[in-house]
Amino acid sequence: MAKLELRGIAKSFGGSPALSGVSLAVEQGEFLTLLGGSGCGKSTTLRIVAGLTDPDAGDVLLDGRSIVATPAHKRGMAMVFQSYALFPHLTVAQNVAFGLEMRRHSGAEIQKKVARALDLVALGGLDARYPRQLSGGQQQRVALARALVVEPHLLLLDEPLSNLDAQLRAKLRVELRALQQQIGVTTIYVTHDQAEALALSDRIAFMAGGRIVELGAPEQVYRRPQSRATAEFLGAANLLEAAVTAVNGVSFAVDSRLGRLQFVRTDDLAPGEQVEICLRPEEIVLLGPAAPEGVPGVVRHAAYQGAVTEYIVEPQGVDLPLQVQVSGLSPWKPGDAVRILLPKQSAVLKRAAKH
Amino acid sequence: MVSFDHFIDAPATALPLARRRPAKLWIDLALLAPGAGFLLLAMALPLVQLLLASFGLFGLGATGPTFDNYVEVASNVLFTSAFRFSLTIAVATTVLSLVVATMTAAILQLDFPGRRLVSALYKIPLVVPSLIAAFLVLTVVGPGGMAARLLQPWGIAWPSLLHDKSGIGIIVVLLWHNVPITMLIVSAVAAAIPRPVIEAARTLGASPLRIFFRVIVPLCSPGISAAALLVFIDAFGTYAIPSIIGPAFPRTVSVMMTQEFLLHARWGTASALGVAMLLMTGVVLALYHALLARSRLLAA
Amino acid sequence: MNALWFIRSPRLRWLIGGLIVAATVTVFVFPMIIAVLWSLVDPNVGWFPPHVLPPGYSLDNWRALFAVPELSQAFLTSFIVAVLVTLLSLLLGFPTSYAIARRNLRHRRLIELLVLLPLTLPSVVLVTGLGSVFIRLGLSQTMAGVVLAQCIVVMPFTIRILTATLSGVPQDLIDAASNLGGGPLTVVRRVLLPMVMPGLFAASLLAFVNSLEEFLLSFVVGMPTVQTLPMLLWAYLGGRSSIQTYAAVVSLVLLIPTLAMLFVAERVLKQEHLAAGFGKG
Repeated sequence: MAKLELRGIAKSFGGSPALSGVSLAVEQGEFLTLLGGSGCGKSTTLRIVAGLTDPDAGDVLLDGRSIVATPAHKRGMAMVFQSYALFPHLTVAQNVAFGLEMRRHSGAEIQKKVARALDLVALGGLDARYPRQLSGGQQQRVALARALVVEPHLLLLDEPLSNLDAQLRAKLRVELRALQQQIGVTTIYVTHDQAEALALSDRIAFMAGGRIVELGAPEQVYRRPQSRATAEFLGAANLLEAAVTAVNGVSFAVDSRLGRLQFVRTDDLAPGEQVEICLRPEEIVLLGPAAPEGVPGVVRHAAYQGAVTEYIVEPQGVDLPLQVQVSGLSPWKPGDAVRILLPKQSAVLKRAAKH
Repeated sequence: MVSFDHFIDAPATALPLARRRPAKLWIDLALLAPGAGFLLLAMALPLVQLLLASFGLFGLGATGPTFDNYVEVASNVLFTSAFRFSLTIAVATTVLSLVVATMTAAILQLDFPGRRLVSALYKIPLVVPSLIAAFLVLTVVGPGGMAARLLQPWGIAWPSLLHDKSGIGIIVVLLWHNVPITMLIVSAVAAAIPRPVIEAARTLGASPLRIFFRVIVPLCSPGISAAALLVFIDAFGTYAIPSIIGPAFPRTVSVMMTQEFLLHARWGTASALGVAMLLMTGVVLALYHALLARSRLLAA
Repeated sequence: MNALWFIRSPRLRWLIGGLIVAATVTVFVFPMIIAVLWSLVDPNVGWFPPHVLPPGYSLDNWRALFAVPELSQAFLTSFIVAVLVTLLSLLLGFPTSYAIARRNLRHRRLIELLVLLPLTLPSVVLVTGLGSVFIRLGLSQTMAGVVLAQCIVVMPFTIRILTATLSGVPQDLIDAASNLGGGPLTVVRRVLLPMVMPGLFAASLLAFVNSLEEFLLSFVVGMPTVQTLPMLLWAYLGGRSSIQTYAAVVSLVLLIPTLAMLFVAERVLKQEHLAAGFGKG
């Protein structure tokens, strides 16, 4: 178990920058996720940590020691790849034993540890199979066992679940988190799937354009994103442009196209500031037209999706369709008049001065 | 001429897009007759003739049914030494080709300045016929060749590789030819190893050397064994090279065989030699397939 | 992505690269240069040890290609045979390729194996049987005999390349053409042929070069009346007498189309043609 630190990592491929100044500290035993779209630099960051790619600038420290010059095979880490990268010519047991053999453990010890690792990922009894004889989920578990069995300082996972179908992905997500907490290994996880990131992580580092844009606990980055990019990547968001009119101790008021609105204050705000309010669809509540509060509006579109119903609702007299999500089956139909209750605790994004 | 690609699992046909028409036997036969039919005839007639002639039957210099030809092939020291010589050359060429080619192919997987040039140049021997290969190699390492001339001022005598009894000259020419072919096959297989597999080995603590022996070589083994088979068959049956630079004794089976019928018109012994050579090639092929089947069984 | 990850010093990388390039050039290019030098040696002066470079140069050996009867005759024979073998192997091979590629053959795998058999069989064995068969058929020492013998080892390549090409034509295209009112002949002429042109080109190129290079079968069947360039080369290299200068000229004459093919193949043709086509003489 170890603490990892990245300092000012920069990397470019053929002149185009992939990473520019990535700094990050991963605490001991922490599960940190690098989240972002393709090309944001998350995989490159992971590869630099693993030693598979050399950074152009910056330093990588493991427990305070620079390891940037240490070759990958001496870093004492283990990585799980998107394609699992199992050795096709070795059995499951031999695959799992590989790292231990490289570390020159004794035969008996290897046998014991391999058996334990396979039990840990619930693959006991499959040790004589070859990778191609396993399902995707089983291969993924072998890859995980192979990585965990060497008791790495750092466990690196590069989109390990993205080749699996949705149900299995959800199941393994739970298992992975439980396993990581049981073992307590410091883990860096790369994904483009925000649900995965939110479900697994102690902290999420959201990356875009080769930088870490935002870093924080899942609830924090989801509910109080600091940037529009984060807000939109982490989930559906209705963004409402507004100008702050008044601020007091616990709340603030804004002027917007939906009129004067009141929100709970979380950030430093000053009257006159231009902001965007991030309204999550599942936090908006629809009420009947006779309700005493909320913005009057009309249901334009309804899509029943089983667990939730999604609506497009248009506030009266304003061309600003809002996405609203209501759990289960709800009574509204297109054309119904409703009242739209906006969440008081919405995130506030500050807009650049140009507005 | 030997093509190698059919030893690798890459059927040239059977694209999923091509929907096949229902069979009409006579159309198929009419289509196949000129090409496949010709080849069938051109294979079957000589092989049947070879087999019959080896037993003294039906043909030029037929003596009536006899095993004499086989007895002679098995007892005459000229022939037995020929088999020993041909086998030695074939085995040596195969082993050396594999060692040199695997190492070079491994290096060619790496990026280094001039790599593209090397990858282009090493393909030259693939299209150079054996005779020319023999000539080209001899201009360098033959008697009075460039190597001898360049070493002379230092008083170093270059060993003559022409007509040497050990067959080293023959092996050198065969290597010039076969190392690139082996390299091409092995590189193709090596290039197919997914990059993350190597990277997984690296993060698990495997040094470059151990990655080479524990991951790359085992994963290349289908290509390596196919190449070995190909090189062996080529080296075992080669005629042009030993007929020019081989020694007067021992001779290769191929040279003995052609001599028997070209110089002495002894088609019987030549045919018996041919059948024996065919059998040995068959044994090697069977070994190869057994090995392949075993490895598939292991992997299945 | 740098694959030379375990060597971090750039200087060492250059050193390794330089060594490999030097070795490759020495082994594969250097002999060609010496061959060119040999072909340019002035026959009046010769090129004897310890001279590292020929003392005199002339084009006499190249002129001999046309002036010396046996050379010019062999040159002519080789190219005529090569053209005939190319045409014949395409003509005979195309229907078989079509059947393998596009028809639902019952024993397709077996037929494919049969087609490849001539390449796995040691030619010296084949020729021992073929020699006596051809003598009985009166094909020995005739150009027809040489052409037929070469077809045995050339046609497998032709069929293979054409099969690969033909099976690459999507049936949808053929169906679409028929659907739009094209009769079978029109479909072949307007759709199939244009699509297989590259394959036909590759197959002819390879057939031509392979025929040009073929030695053993031609040697046994044709000798001594029908003499091709490789047979002459064999003679010059010591089978009969050792004439290095003529050997150099003949080698280069045979190499130029071959290397041109390699060049064309690398640049123009699809990888599958290359893969199906590489062989050894």
